[in-house]
Amino acid sequence: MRKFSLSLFALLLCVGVAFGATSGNRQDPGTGDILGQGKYQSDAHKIFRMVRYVPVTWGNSATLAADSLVVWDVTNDDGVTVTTTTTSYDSTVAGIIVTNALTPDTDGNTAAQDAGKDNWTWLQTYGMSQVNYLATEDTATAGDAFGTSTTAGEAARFFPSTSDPGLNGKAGFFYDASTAGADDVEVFLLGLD
Amino acid sequence: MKKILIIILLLMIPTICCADVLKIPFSCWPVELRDEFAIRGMKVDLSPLERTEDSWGFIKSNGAEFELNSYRAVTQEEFQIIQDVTFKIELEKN
Repeated sequence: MRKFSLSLFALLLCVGVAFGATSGNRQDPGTGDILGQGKYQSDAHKIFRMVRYVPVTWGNSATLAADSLVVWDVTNDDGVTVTTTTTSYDSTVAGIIVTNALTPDTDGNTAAQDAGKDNWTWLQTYGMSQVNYLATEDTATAGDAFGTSTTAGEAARFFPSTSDPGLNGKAGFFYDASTAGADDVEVFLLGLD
Repeated sequence: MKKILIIILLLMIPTICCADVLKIPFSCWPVELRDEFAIRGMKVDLSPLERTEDSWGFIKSNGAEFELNSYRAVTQEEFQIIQDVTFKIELEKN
């Protein structure tokens, strides 16, 4: 019975491969250059969301650079607006923006009013990514969890709070050992989508 | 038997294709999206079953939002195109 099951399983796998209309390895691998990754089909699958950026303070705000770790905006609580935080391990962590986010033209607009404006960007919520690592941290070991830090857009190693539910925002983990203050360190986002 | 199974599984690894998923918080007519992408040189299908060698990805409508599933890593230029197409359709509706 065991042999029969294994044979059947093997046969089904063969049939699946033989009848695939166009298998993945026959598709053009593309020239994806996002974050310097994505050049091969074997790269990790990623999930992105189109989101609106609203800075914490509108006046004199500047463009938010790609690779910034952002949080969901709890003031504009519409599910599509992100902003920055200077709270470590903020539970509202949303992900990493992968294209520069410009500031809104007008303060106080709703997401619908901002449709078509420049302050929309792409938020990565799953997969391999990169982020800037806070300078005042210790070296991170591959596999260490990370979250928001006391510097807007930068990441710090994540230590869960047992007393404050607002400080339990884990964004993912470091893929490599990372030196404090290093830019573009390799991380993996998970659990955000 | 186990050896054969392992060999078959190893042979299948290169056929696994990883894609990106883009979630967009606007509703749309998928046909309208497909046509707008076609104007910009991207062949976006209405179903993964329509996939051909030229396909860039396919559209999945989720009611008030839609998803684009690509067959390869998305480039910065493509991010901009998707944003432009989305807003063109959204602003024409209103």
